Amino acid sequence: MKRLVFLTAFLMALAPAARAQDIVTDLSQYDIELRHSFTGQELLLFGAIKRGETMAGERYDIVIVITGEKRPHMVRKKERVMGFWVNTGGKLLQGVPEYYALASTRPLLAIAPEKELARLKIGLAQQDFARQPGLEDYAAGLIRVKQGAGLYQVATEAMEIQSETLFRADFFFPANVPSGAYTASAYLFREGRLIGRSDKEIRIGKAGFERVVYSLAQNQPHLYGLMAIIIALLAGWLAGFITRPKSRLG
Amino acid sequence: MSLYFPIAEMSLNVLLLLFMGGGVGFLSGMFGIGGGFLMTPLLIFTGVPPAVAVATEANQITASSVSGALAHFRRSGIDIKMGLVLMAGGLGGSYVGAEIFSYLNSIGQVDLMISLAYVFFLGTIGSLMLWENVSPWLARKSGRRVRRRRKRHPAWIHAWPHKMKFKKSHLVVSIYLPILIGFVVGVLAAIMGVGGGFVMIPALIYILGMPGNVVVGTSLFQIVFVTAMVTFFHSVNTQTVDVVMALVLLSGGVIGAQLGARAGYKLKAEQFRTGLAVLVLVVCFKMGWDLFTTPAELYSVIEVAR
Repeated sequence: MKRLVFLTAFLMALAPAARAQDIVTDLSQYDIELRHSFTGQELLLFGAIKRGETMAGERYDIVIVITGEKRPHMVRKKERVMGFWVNTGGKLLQGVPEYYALASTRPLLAIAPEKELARLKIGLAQQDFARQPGLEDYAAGLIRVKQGAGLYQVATEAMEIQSETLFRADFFFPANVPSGAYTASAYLFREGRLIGRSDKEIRIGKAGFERVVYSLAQNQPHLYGLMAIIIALLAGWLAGFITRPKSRLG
Repeated sequence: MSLYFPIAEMSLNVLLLLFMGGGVGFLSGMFGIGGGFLMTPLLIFTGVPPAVAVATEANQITASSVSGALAHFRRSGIDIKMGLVLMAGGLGGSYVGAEIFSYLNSIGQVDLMISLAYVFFLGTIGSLMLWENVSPWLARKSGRRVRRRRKRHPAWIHAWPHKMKFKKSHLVVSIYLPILIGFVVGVLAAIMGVGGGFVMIPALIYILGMPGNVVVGTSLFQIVFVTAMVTFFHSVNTQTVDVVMALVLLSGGVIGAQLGARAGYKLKAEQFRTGLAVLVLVVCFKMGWDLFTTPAELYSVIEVAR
């Protein structure tokens, strides 16, 4: 009897883990290269949900979030000083994702209660940086700036679940997207409760010549500086050499 | 046709950059100016971060000045000794300028400083140029005789100690004067992304009293080295030199300078000088306007230590 209770408890504990398999996703691309021709990149995330015994009228919702690496950001506010608009002392916000894109089937608060969203950190309002007391204005300013740069995109009601199983969402990485390791998470909700989750990694990196230039500038700044000078001297000399006969004629 | 620039971390239209390089190059060829003081603000207006604009433009000026400096060298139009003394000052100045630059960058005030420096210098130079062109015309209109005062080589400079002989310039002046001039120009080069010819040339003529045939060559000689040092310091301190962008700007600039030089032979540059003065004042006004008007977004964001 005692064994049976234990087994039941074990199976019940296992159930949520099994449930996590109820949503499967895939991406159109796992590796995005920032090359000289990079002007932004579209990314398609698609997937399916596996339903068990569905009760009539039960509502399923999906939230998909793509986040960049989290880093501290300095946010400065301009104030008028003697007629000029001048940056005043900045505030450091911790845990700011470099990129944040969200797509969902309905407005977030219609999908799940705020407590659940806060636990899962879904939505910009639930990010650590937005919850630092006293810095709400700065966080709001940061969100506006990032949205303006196309780095934060929130589109609730942007998805539909087709035939009660299939879903897809389009994302866009703008030209100024930072390189780094990105996570694409899909959350499956039923009646306000999380019942499944799927995480995928995306790598965005400078590639080829751009990567060489960038990493040299960051890791070997002395060498980079010297090379910049030598390239400029050579290019300038060459340019003068090519154009000199013409200017003599002129 | 867009190109991704790895240091500026943004995509820009190559044709636009070539056109900007060409346009500024055209004016450079026509008037014999360096053009940095027009190119850096243009880059900033395009959306390039000011710190990247300044450092990258220093790199471009090295390239665009080297052929001119070589041409003057072949014609022996350079006072090498004077150039070296100016460079010594320039080395110190560009180091101090780059340090000021990275300090202000760390406290978020570098954009403000760049704007203020530009408003001040462009405003002063633009007004002086405009006055120089308009005042004779006004004088002629009112029937007065044009009076040109040219005060050279003020007496007070002879009071400075440690005199040095500059054979090529037929000068004996205190070594501290050219060092000081080089220093000031070095600071300006580092914080504004300019060659500094607009300060250097008047200083060599009116303060040191150098003869005209070596002024431009010596100034170019020093500009090549000072902008090279500025490139180096910014690369090390703030990693803001975008070599790829500098090369694109240079390509446009070379073509523009050729066309400008030819146009300069055919056209009366005097008439265009007023146009240049107005252009300089317009850029100055735009920079100043952006400082005074309420910005659309009060907050700015910088990622810390990537």
